[in-house]
Amino acid sequence: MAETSESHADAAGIEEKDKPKKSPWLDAWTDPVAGISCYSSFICLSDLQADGDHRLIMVDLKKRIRIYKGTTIQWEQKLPDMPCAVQTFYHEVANPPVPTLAVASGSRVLIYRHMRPYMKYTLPPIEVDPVEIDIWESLTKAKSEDLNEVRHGWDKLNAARENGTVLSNQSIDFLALEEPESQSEFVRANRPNKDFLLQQQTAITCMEVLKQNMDEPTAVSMLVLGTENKMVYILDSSALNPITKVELDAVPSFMSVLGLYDVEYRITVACRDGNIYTIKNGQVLSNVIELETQPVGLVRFDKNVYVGCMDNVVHCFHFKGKKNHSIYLQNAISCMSLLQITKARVAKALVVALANGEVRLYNGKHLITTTQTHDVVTGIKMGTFGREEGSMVISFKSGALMVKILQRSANLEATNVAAGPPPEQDIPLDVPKKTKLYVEQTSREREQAIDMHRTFQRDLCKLRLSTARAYVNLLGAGHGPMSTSGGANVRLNAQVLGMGPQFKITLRVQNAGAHAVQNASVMCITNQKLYRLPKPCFYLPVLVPQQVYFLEVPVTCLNENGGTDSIRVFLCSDKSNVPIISALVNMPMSEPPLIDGF
Amino acid sequence: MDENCVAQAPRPGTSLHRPNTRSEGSGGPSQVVRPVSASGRPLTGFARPGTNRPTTSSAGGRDITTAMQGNRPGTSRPLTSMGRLVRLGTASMQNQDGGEFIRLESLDLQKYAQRPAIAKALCDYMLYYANNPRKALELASEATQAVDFKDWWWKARLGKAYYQLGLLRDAEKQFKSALKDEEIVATHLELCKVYMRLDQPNSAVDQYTRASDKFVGETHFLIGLARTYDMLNSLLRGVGFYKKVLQYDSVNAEAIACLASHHFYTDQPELALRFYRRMLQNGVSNAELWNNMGLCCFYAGQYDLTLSCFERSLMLADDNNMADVWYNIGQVAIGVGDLGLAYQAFKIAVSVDPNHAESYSNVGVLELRKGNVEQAQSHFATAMRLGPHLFEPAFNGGLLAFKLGEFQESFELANKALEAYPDHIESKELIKQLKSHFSSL
Repeated sequence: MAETSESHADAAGIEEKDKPKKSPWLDAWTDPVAGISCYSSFICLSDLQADGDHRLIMVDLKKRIRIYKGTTIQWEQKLPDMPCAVQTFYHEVANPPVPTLAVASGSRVLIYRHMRPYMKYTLPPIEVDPVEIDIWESLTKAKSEDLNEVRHGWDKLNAARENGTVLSNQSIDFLALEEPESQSEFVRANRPNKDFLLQQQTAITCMEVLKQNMDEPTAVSMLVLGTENKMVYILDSSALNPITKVELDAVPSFMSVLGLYDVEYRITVACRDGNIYTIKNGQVLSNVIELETQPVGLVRFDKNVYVGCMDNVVHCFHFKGKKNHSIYLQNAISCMSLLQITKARVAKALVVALANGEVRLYNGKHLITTTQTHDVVTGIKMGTFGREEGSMVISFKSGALMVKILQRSANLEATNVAAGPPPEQDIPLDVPKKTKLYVEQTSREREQAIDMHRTFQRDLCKLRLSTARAYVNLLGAGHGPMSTSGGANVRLNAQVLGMGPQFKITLRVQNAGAHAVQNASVMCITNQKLYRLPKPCFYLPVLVPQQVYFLEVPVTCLNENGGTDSIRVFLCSDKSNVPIISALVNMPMSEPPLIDGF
Repeated sequence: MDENCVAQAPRPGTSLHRPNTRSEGSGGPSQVVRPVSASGRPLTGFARPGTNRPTTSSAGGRDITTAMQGNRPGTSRPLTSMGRLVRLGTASMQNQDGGEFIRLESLDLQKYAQRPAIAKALCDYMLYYANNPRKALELASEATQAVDFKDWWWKARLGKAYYQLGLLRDAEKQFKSALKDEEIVATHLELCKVYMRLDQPNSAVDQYTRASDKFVGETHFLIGLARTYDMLNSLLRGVGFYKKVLQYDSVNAEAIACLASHHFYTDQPELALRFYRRMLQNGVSNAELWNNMGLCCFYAGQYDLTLSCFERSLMLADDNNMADVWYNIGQVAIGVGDLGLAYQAFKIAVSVDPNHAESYSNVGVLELRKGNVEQAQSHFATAMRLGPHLFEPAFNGGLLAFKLGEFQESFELANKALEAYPDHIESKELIKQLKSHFSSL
């Protein structure tokens, strides 16, 4: 895997010049102020009006749906809820074949036809555990004013949760309330009655499209939904009824669909538990791919499954579960997509966007090209845009939008990089030469080794003695920022703030020992003629270990032309007549006051 | 609403405010070998004003509160316009009885501008004694008109006055015009100073180079070039110019000191020792020099001379540099293997200078060896607070947090270490381990 060196291209995206190979991408369109930031699942490319001009459909977290025709916004509307995916599918064989637009949001799929809201499909509610229903029934019967009854119900719900019962959102909200009054208020407001039963909705996590019986671009297709309650639903082509339900062991986060519903199909599902499950014709297969870290992207490439993981690795598995190879990357993977061209020629490549703004193109495990975008990529979609097959739509965190087109003559074949030692191996280490002087000195060392050793040992003893003296002096007098006298271990730091004539000394007092220090006081002494201390004494009743205490000592300089002096700060205890610790604060030169009489 | 992005930061190697970026690999020793000053640049061998000034735009943690720290509080304060000059002016006036010698306000400048001799004296009085660049500017502009813009001297003074007033582009124009009339060494130097203030080190380098081609053998330009390269973090290029300086002026203290420190940090202490000996022969004898000689002797294997050098250094040291001497004694003690002595030396260093971040970091490591985990942690935290430019305490703290299982804290600290030293391998390794820990299931 060779790293291509990159030069800086400016914002307009000038082609990198000093690259060894020409980039296969052409810059089609860049809008730095598009103001829409999408994830990969929020972007969709489709021939919405069956006129051969493929539109770009985008939804975003600001609850908007926007359709681009070419570089202009054709249609924009508000969505009723936060979306999680957008897809188009063909609900019937028609001429012209006008696709249906589906936006998944929350527990619903909003269906648009001819750019008009058409209908919505809501997922079936989850069955609520009978234990929970019983508890709520008894809560409903009880008088809500009776706090004991409510409390009793709360305790039972809590016990049910402890025992592993999966509770509904309503119960979870109820359990979050601590006060008896608010609990009874909650019961009164959410009291289930005969018409309104306890309900629990799930949420869609991902949405894909599966062809029904023909493998053609405009053949009838159906929606595949992954949901928060660990289910995969396949809806019929009218998007009204689920015709297949599959239960998984974990919440699906990415899906990839292959095959035809009526013949044979295979859905590869990457889940939040870090496993990849395969659904074949409505059955979960027993071979499960276990990943070491969470998946961040899933792409199926012929018979291979490429999974990007949180540890910056793209693993490639055969779809039956055998691992083929891994691509190790320098940066985190932000999104992955598959480039697929079928019309002009047949080519496939894997596109990986990295956290540092690089968009890489891989053919198998071989890096073909790297493109630097200088922005944070949030979503990538490959497909036909306008009439150009092999377009890449990139959405950025800044709200920018970029479209690139694959050159028709682009070479996507893997080029084998010559194997061998890296070029760094031939650069010798920069070890300075031993000088002649050094050699002379070593010969002196050799000849007079004994004398040198004796002198050194004698000097070392002297140094030890003088150091120990200084150290003992330090311990006794309580100088220095750390003190261990009197069994206390206290740290004192002082800092002068201000330019003058008003200063502030900030004292940090920290008890670094294991025991609390009691009845400590802080005193400041200075040259009374130069500085005035309005409050020179502080009393610290207790110093808790490791806690930092801040004291602020205001200081006023009386004569800004009188030079400088120092302020002594003492931390004393009532146990000893020697201060625990002291600090000497050198005051800076004072500036003249800015305003007279200040 | 223009959302088009414009690059906010200068390109690598073109600004003095981003010392950690450089256009090309300097080839000099890494931050592990050669420590950095508070500004984030490698230590130079010669203390000079400006080089150690914390850069205003550098990374977090260097705010106005840290500007007031240091051995001499207040001297490293952020630049205010002319604050220092104004004070000098007022202080020098104070001693006179009966007011000022010349009342600048009441002078008729137009009249004096017609008399070049007295005008020049008056202008210098205004600039150097009264420290009143505004008046000097008035006089100089009158006078330069009076001589039909022919006299380089007035243009140079105009430039100086503009410079003091902070009008750097005007100053540049005047100096350039003055140089056109007459090539003067001082004018060249002042023009380079303007470029440095404008944060255009490459223009300054160009100007120095042009001037040194004109005045061959003028060491000021060579020194200026070397300083600029030092500030840009390309130390090896600076070294070449220091060597040239010594060819012309073999007793130049700055060149000798910088070359000595260069040799010391590139693993040739015996050569560094030779340079320091030269300084001693030149009559310099202070605590720093003896301290450096002690270190050179120790690392060059001249053990019998090492400790006596430190002894002398301690004798000569005052409050400003005593902590550094004790810190180095601690380093030698670690080299000898006497950790008790090292511990004491570092403790003394922090007692002399409570802001000595390096010593705190080392005390922390020694405390950790003793098993005092909480103390070590608090020492590392103190060192980080006092020296945000150091990567060692952040990395040590991060490693300790990792061993204690505090992964979140460890991650933050390792990132902090990388902020101070982006190429630190161990921190990167630690982050890699942490990331695999975070992402594994």
